[in-house]
Amino acid sequence: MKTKILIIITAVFFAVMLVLTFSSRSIHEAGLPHVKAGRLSEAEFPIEFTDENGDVMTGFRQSPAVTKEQLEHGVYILYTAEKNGEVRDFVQRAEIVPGAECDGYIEVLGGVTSYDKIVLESDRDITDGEVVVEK
Amino acid sequence: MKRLNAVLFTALAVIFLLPVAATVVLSFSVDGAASLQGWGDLLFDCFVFYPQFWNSVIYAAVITLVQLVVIIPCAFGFSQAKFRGKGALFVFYIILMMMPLQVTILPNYIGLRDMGLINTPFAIILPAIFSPFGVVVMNQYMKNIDSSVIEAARLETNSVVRIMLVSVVPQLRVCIFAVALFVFADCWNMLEQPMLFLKDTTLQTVPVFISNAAEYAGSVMFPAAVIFMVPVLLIYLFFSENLEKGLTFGDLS
Repeated sequence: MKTKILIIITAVFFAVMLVLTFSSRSIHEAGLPHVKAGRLSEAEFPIEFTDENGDVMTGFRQSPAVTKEQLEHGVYILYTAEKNGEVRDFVQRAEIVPGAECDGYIEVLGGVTSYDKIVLESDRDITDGEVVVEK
Repeated sequence: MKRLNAVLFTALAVIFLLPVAATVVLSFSVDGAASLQGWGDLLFDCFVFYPQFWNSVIYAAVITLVQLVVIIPCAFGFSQAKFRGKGALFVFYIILMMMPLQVTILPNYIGLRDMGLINTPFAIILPAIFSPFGVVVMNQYMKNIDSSVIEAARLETNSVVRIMLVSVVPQLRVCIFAVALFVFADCWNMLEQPMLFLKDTTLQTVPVFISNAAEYAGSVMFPAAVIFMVPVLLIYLFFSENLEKGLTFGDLS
């Protein structure tokens, strides 16, 4: 009887460990936000300048920009860091310094560079410092 | 007197079990409050633990099985064969057994490095297979084997392997279980060898995981220690009767 119980406990223990070995990552990732990330987009913003004759001219300049919606929800930079012995994707909220506004785009003057990867889409709300899965 | 003994042994048992109980209790608490977060963190957020757990199982099982294959004939040779220098060789075995691990680990490292086995599972398995402990213990048992059984077996066959398997091994069942349990527990707890011989974390073992606590979330340590205890505890419970008999050296009656 004792041996039978021990065999059952042993079998259950190793079976659970085996199942978790193959499924723990999927279970973990199912509970995390899945995000699509990319570089900052660029938009054209009108500028006024004076030419050599002293006439005021209007032109455009290309600048890194975010949409109004992005700015309202918060702009998150995607970065990698080690957690529990593994490299993971984390998000960090960027403090954007807004500039000019044009056609729904807001010029980014600071807080994020064009080299940073930012979150473009997320299947759920994300919070500062959270681990995410990049699609 | 009996009551005093009972109280004394109960107190000692409690003292010995206290760290184990504390580990189990603390695995269910985080920052002093009852919580399953530690278990959740370990099982669903610490994926490096699984390969290390299975490495521990595989290394310990392979070493135990292969070591038994090596030590039984070796001990049989020591106890039954007559050859010059047997006594000196056995003394050498005992000296090897008494050597602290720290003394032999560096020569082992150099040997394994020269064979190109560093950072492979063989770096753990190969040196452990030829541990002298089992040979010394089993030799003590084999001295008490009924020699008439071996003589009778000799009349049947000339094969030493067959004599050993048919007439010696059945008499050593208890001792084999006891030695296997000790060897398994010793391999299961191995820390220095995986730390020194294996650089790849996916090849390392659970003791290395626990000793590198600073690299992981603090909450995962106690649940990892509880899981680490389970296999060796189960094996002990399986073979506890054999172990108790096996610890009475040389008594085959």
